[in-house]
Amino acid sequence: MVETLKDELRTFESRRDELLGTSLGRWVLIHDGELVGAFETQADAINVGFQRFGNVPFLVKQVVPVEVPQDYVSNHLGI
Amino acid sequence: MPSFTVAVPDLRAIGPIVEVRIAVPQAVEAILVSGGQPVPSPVSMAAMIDTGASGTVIQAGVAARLGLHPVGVVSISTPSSTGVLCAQYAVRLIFPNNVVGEAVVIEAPLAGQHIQGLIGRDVLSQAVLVYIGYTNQFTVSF
Repeated sequence: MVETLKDELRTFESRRDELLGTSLGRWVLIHDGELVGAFETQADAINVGFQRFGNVPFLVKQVVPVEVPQDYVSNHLGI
Repeated sequence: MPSFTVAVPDLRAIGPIVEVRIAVPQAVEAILVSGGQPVPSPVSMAAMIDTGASGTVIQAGVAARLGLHPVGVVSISTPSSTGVLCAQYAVRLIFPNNVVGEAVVIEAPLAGQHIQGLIGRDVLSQAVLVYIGYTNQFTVSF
């Protein structure tokens, strides 16, 4: 389901400890396996991604010590 | 305050379902227009207002129909699974009365459902939801 962003996810995981020290709570933008920057909001990071790279895949992810999964209490999702 | 009201025949049985159109976000529309490329038409879907969903969901395949690419990955938990990674997409949500907002949604299969989307608490965090069960209608104001 997320095969497209596997390089970006690998970059995020490999730099997580460093980012926790420098960018805790911020949203990082990663494209083509390279860290582009850290931003105050998710929308800021996404807009920069579109402006710099166009309509292509990129990863925007918040830097947090523990990622809390989104929760879905009903059985609507076929997952 | 922009708002829409939906009346359904049996709110208890059917649930708070609204017709919403999913479109490319403004940033992508600007890229397409500046490149002389056509802007995909919005995709219409029946979506349930779901206070049990922390995030908004669109049916698998909708993003591809809009020519969108993922902008994130998030882990989700459902009653039958935990830690499933889902792709996230930036989209524009167009509700009745031309109430428009942008959101980052996940794409997931909703096969076999009478709905093709969930409006979750991420969108509702910006809204007032009034659920009037005895008149079979609900209102969402932003």
